[in-house]
Amino acid sequence: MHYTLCDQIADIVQNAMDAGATEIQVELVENEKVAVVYVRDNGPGFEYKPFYTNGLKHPHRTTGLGLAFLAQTVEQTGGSWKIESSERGTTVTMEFNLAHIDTPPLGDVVLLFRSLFVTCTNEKSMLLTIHRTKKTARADTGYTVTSAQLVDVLGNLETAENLLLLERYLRSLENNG
Amino acid sequence: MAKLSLEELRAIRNSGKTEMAKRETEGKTAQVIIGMGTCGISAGAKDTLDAFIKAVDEAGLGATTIVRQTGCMGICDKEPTVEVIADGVKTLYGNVTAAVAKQIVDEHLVGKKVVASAVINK
Repeated sequence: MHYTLCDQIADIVQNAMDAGATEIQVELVENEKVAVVYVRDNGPGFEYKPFYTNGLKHPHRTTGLGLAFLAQTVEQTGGSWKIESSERGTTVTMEFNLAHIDTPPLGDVVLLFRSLFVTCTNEKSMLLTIHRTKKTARADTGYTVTSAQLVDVLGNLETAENLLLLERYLRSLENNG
Repeated sequence: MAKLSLEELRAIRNSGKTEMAKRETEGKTAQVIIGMGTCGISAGAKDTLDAFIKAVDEAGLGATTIVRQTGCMGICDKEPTVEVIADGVKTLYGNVTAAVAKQIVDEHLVGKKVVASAVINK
């Protein structure tokens, strides 16, 4: 089990990045009881086998734990997960039960999003869109940010200066919308 | 903190550009590469990353220093591991806590002197 749900989400998004996708969408919808995450990519798709990896990222390695960690986490805490995959892309849906005492804490979503934007733009030249929704009894709030917008405004996201600006921007969205 | 628009972000970014352009002409770009695999994160690499970003910016090197994340570097017993590339030379550091990160920025990136006590060999 990962230390936070953000670490688990990062692990699953990394799979999409490594799969050869050019566009990834991450959607995080949260209310008081549940956090639902959708990771959609336009990669070539795959057939899920437990504890298996294709050896492309790490030559000769055939054991993978990313999805196994996800399965373990949700099965032990009353959540759920599913994969829908075809040659046109893959969607991983994760539903975490925030009310279960053994569910890891959500973690810092701002730092998760910053890390995903940086990795997508600098290492992989992929388009990443993040949709964030927070649902309360009173209203639904949220925001959408794309990697193309951030690169247009900031340029290279990996300088220390821009990493601080990116955190400041994302935190202002997270705290206000 | 009020919600920032993209245009406000652009204005903040541009307000520091003159100083940044001046430093960029010096052509000295350093890289700090932090191992952020599962092993690194479990050993505290998130705090290390945060410490590097803040210390680099406080040292006035924020526009010319790349702070990059990478996966496991294969030395899991010495996580968090950090590679520093400065003046064309690569240096590998191990067990880089937030305090050591600050020390590396002050002594290596600013003072141009390797922090020998934290250097490891792969």
